[in-house]
Amino acid sequence: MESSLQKTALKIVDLVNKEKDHIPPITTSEQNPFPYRMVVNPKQQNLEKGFGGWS
Amino acid sequence: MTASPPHSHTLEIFSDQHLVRDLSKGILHTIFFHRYFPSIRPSLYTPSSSSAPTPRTTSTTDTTLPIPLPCILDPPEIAAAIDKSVADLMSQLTTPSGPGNVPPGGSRGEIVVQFFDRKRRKTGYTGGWLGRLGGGGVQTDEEVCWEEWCLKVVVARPRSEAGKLILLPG
Repeated sequence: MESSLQKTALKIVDLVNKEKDHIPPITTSEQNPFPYRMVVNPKQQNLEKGFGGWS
Repeated sequence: MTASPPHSHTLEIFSDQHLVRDLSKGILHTIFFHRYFPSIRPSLYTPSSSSAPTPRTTSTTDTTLPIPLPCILDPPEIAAAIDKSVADLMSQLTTPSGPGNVPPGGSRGEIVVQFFDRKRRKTGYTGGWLGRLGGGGVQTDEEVCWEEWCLKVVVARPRSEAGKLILLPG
């Protein structure tokens, strides 16, 4: 578990440092210019909702 | 004009049922620490099984993984959103979706984090003299996903009758 956690944490650091060019420019003075969303088990939620995710 | 697909990253963690909550929280905090750009108040977070909701019966010693991870104390909305998502994940991991859907060695879950950019677009007719006048269109805000993180969680469960924990290969 320890090695799995360490490997994952280092992978995040590696990715965020390497891939920055796609980050959009901040053109707004809003408190958070980039809204976020977290979804748990999205594929299972789509199956429960039906084809295409439309309810 | 079609938007380019978001950069998508997949992460996998393997854990036992006592540490999965803390590990998931730690990884999500790490993602936000690096991708949430407004001012934050950070701290260090060390995943441990001491916050496990059910007491361990095999040992009274709490397990702490010696890997400190960054976490966000302020704004509190981020920690609250992470706690809620992890709680949802835990409830789905402990509730099998159906007979035969849970692998004999453990259960799996997934949390997807998406970051969006708000773009102001003008819809409707914007060409010709009407467009040059500045009319003929309606401004709408469109959210475009520019990055997506998919955290796949694999929880190992005891297989033997003695309760000995066997982790899936990682």
